[in-house]
Amino acid sequence: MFEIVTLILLLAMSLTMIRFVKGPTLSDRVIAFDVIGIMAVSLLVILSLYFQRSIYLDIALVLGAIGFLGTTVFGRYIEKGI
Amino acid sequence: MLTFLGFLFIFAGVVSFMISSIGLLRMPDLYSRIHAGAKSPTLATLLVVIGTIFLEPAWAPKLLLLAFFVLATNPLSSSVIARASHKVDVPHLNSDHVDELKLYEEKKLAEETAAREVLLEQETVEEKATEEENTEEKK
Repeated sequence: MFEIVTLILLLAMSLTMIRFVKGPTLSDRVIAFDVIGIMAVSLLVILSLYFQRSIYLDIALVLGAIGFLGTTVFGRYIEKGI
Repeated sequence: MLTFLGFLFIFAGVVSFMISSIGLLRMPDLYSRIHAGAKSPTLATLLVVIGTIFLEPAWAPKLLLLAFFVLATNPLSSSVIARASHKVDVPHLNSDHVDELKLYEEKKLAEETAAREVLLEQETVEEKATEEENTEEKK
């Protein structure tokens, strides 16, 4: 069951990666990057269940708390430049 | 039973991720892509977290904290991106319709420049007055 769920999640990640490569504007790429980050958080939660180690949850927590900062900084860059 | 519920929730979350990525691929313009990339990933993360709580009830505090962070930061980042790309005029599907945010910003900008011109005029008047005073003192 874990294998099926992880495979579907990886498939969704690679579909988002197509938008990341293709995206016509910078904002498309940033949105795809953001979604891939959120998917990575969920993937870490599922991996912590699979390996029965709660230490992976800490990594997911930090990624969820800090990951949005990159997107916010990109928004500032789109708006005003460096 | 709890195991079944947990797997059901995790599966629903992953399917929601799949729907989100298909939406990111197929939506016609940037703003609808932001719509697909902001809402369903949040729901999917919450579903995965709920399923994990069903499977491992001892990890509940950490998982609830994670759910809180995702719920707080996800809409924020997509809103920042949408606002920034509207400001740099990324085109959207109905670009020829009325754009009220743009109209509001233009109105605000015009008011600010008018206020600045009034200030500049006042300053020049004051400078002229002080110059006249100086010349009178010299005489």
